[in-house]
Amino acid sequence: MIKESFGSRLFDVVNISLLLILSFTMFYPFLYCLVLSLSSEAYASQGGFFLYPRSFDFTAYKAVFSKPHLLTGLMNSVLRVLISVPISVFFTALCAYPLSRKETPYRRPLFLFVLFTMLFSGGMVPIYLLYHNIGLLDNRLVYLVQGLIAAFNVILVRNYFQNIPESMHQAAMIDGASEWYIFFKIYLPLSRPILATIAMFQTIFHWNAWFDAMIYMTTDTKVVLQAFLQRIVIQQEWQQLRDIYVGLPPESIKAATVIITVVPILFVFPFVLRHFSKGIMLGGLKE
Amino acid sequence: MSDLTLKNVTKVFNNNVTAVRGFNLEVKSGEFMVLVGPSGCGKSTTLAMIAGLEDLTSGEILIDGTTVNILPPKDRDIAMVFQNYALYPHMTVYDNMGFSLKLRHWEKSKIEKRVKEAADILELGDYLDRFPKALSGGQRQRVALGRAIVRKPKVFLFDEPLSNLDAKMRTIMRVELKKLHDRLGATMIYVTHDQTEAMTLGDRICVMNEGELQQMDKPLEIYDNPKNIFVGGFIGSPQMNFMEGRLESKGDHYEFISDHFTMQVAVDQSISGDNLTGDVKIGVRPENFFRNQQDENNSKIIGKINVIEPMGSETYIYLESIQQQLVARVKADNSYGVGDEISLWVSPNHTRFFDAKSGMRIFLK
Repeated sequence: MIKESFGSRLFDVVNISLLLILSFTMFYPFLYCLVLSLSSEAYASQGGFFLYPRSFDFTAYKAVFSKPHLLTGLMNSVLRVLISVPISVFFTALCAYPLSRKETPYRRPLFLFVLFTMLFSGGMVPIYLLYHNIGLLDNRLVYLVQGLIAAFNVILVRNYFQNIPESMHQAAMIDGASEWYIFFKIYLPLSRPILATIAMFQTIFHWNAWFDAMIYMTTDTKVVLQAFLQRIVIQQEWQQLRDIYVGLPPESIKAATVIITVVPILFVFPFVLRHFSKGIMLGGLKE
Repeated sequence: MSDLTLKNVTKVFNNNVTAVRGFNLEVKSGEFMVLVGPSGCGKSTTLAMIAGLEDLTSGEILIDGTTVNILPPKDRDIAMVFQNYALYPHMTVYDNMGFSLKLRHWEKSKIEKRVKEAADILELGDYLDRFPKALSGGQRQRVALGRAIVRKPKVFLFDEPLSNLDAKMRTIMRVELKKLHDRLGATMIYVTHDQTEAMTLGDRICVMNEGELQQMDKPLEIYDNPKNIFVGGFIGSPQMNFMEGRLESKGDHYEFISDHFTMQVAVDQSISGDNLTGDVKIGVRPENFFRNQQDENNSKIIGKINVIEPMGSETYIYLESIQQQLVARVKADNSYGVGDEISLWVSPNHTRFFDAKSGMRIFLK
């Protein structure tokens, strides 16, 4: 066994300690919210540093769920993710494929055009007017259109496609495959890691989005969960809940709302993780 | 089995680089044709044009008399084996091999029959359910071969298929390829930069350089009678030794005069013309340096040994003679040592003469 030097061991200790501290600073806000949401009024109002709940009081959750249309909002959010993410991933890949092929005419100007949209957008008012003119205001389709093809994701997928060796495309062409067939049967299956990555990006984007619901939606039943969270936490709607649940600290209500909105998305990550499989290209080519 | 013809094929890329220039080639039905040349000589581009992966700038490609350069790759009835195998990593060996048949909407039972036939030929029967990552390099290249042969195409194209294998596997696969060609009797075009593969596999060899055909002939003919300095230097390992000198007319014969030696030669003027006086280069294969004088026409070279490479059955001796590096292939012998002075004999019969300016061969009687 190779004996490590003192300096090397010291580096490991410092490195691991710093990473643990960093991890804790990431994890603690979740823990804090969880503890606060479960704490009784007396404990919650003390403030300070909580590591574990002194009591298990679910009143704050009851209060949040008593809010009208909250479950509908949850359902809207879930449906938004389930429908928008696969469609977004598909269209992103579809856009990236020709940009990755050297025989595409005007490939570079087209790519610069895509890149331009990443740096500059039309602005909120023109987009609002556009949605108004095409009838997307107060229409759930707006959730699908928002972020359907993100330029950054297109660049990621295009770069991944470009790393798939040209000879594989050529072999498929000689075998008799059409461009559509090559796209669906060769490129998409071989690009699972990057597609999973952008699926995760899109899932988080759609799950966290509240601004579009706030400005484009007028009917409460069409609003997503995050917009309810925004109303409770920012627009002071917790005061209405406090009128019903007398004595419930506002911090607990806000914390419970945060937990309700964050927990579902945490379950998505393990499902995506298994697609980040290394070495999917292994074996097809001599490196 | 089909024949293949390339007529005046030229390829100029967008950056104005001419990869292939006025290339003509006729491959007979069932022939194994090897395109060989250094990197960038246009051999792979030529293959890509035959496959339909690159457009022609001008010229025509015909398979069985039918112009195919206007057809997409899938309609040319060709199959190609790539240097890096280009297997589909997410498909099993069976699916890789049956992929092209599936795309042609063959019945499952027919695909299975054809794939199993190919697997039997290539001894892949036990690996059909495996994914490429679970195979060795040689097995993967056999799968790539299998993918080509299931279709029974008119023409097989090979783009340096053995380059990524280790030396031992390359030798084994070379023999396998030769057997496969004998068994299938198919028309095959094989691109390589390895002149050993070219010599051993090809019925004929086509030597290319800078996008142009240098010489096309049977392997031994190219080895023995290179048309120019490039072919002489490229084919053969270790490569041909070149020495500079002059040809001077001496009435009924010519005399080659160099710093190394003087040699009397008879020139075939019917081929090479009658005014050959001037600067020339002579080429001598390493095995054509002799330890002993063969006859009175032989000329002697004296050199100092720099490096000795014992190969087992023979020994390569690198020597310096009048500030020129030469290499001789002699019988395995332990009597030489680095720094020793050595005498070698050269025979006019085994010497090839080239015009120093044009590099073209001067033929002797």
